[in-house]
Amino acid sequence: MSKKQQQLYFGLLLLSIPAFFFWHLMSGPTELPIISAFMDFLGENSSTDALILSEIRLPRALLAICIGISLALSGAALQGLLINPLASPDLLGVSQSGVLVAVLVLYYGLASLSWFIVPLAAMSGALIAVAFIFSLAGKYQGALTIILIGIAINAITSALTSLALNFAPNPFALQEIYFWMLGSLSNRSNNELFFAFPFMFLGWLLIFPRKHFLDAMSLGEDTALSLGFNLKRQKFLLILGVALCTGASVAVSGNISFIGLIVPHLLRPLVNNEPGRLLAYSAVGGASLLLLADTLVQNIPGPQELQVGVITAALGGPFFLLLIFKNRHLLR
Amino acid sequence: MSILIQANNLSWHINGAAILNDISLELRSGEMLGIIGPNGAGKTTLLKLLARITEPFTGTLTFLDKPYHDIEANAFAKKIAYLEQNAPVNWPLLVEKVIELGRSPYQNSYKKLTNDDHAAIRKAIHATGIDRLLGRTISTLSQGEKMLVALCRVFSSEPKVILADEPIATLDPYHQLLIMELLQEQTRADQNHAAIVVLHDLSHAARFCDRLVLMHEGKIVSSGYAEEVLSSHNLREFYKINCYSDFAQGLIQPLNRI
Repeated sequence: MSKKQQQLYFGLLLLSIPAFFFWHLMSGPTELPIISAFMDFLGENSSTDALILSEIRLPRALLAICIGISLALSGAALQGLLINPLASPDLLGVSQSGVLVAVLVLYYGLASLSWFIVPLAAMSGALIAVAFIFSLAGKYQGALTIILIGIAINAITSALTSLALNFAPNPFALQEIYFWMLGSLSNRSNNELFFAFPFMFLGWLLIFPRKHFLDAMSLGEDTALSLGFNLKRQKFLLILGVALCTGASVAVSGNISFIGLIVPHLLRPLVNNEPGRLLAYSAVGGASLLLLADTLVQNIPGPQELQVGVITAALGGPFFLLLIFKNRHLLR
Repeated sequence: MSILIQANNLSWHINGAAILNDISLELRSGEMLGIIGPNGAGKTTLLKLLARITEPFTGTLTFLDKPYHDIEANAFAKKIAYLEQNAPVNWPLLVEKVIELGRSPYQNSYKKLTNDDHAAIRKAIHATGIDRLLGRTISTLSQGEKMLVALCRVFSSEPKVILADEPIATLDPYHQLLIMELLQEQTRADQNHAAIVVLHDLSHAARFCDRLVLMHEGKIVSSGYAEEVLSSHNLREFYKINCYSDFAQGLIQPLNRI
């Protein structure tokens, strides 16, 4: 793929975001005349349309963009760091672990203490999982080891989450907890956007500058060290970035699966397999894909709206199987 | 003739087992130093200590009289380059991207490649003669071509010292000679350059290296010129083999095990 072609594809990906963004804004249970609603909003004319736009549609679309960026970026960072195309925050149990800690916080009623308790819990859960994976996998980060650790973490955290659900003191808590497991963007408000965004943004700031480091990791840890990279520091900052991105996403949207796996994988050929350049492409691709998926969810006819996590899993599951099939020589 | 790398009384243990025991050696400018020894002698570990990949250790290590730990990581990477055994590349990158990574010590997170970087890369490509491989994916190359690309990556860092771990172990005779010649040219190009090469091929060690160090069970058991180090006594004692040796031709042919 030549530089020119790469730029062209990147441009197309970028352009898809505003296109899907407007389609997303226009989608929903009620017809919304976007332009007049927007005019009302700007003119501080508090019509119902303006309210729907500013309080419901805009935050949801912006959240889709931010979460899409965060999940795909986490996936690309983990794949580069572990040198493993099968790594992603949801498959490794990072998301699920975030869900578990958030659920525990909800269960014990700590969530009401402060608005940042739940995102903080989700992020610490994610951080614990990534740290655990790295300490267990150590230097022998074969594809199979990592995937098996992911399966184990997913199993343990899901079981513990179910346990917490079983013991939930009242139906209200049960409902709250159920909300984490679905992976949805519906009924999110500006509050969620405002509390998740700073953490995600910090995560992006931690991940993007590790571009050259991820490239150097292609040559193995020893050579990366010999090229002057401080491995411990770089790994730590990347892991922290992944935990912030994944945790903040999970905190507002639950576990939206497969974005982190599919997006980097689809875009890798466009960047000649360079893990560093893949970061920016994945960020843009992730935003675009989640916007599209969440738009589709709202446009599929049916008695009630599908969860966006259902769409991404329905698309991602077969894709994951295909990926395993193609990489089965690595897994032996 | 100045001393580039000086190692004094290096020891390294893992889980209580001594892998390296009281190693002292020096690398002089303009020389190619060969490290030889049977499997498990600690050659790779020693090279990794010298490349500052394995830490911590006991003993002292200096580069141009400056202790290793006083040299900042990037500055170190500009001076001393490491060529890993088999030169693995984990993603199917383009050849030019791999070479570009040699410039990592000169880059920061945001800067693009400068003219200096491009000049160094061009020079390295010219020196190794791999123009024909540009535009290809690393996974499509033969082992010999891969090693050439890795060497080109090392050259593009413009290092003073190259530390190469068995660079020719898996190559055909043509590429064995080519890689050894390129390493030799590089060390002779400038009075301030030098290389340390871990080798299994005793003929190449005798022929291309200015001095040899023979390791056995974590210790240096012999060092000096090829004739002394590869004496039939040493070969019998440490390699457990009998050889036919002709040092004028640079030929050490293993004949039988003892």
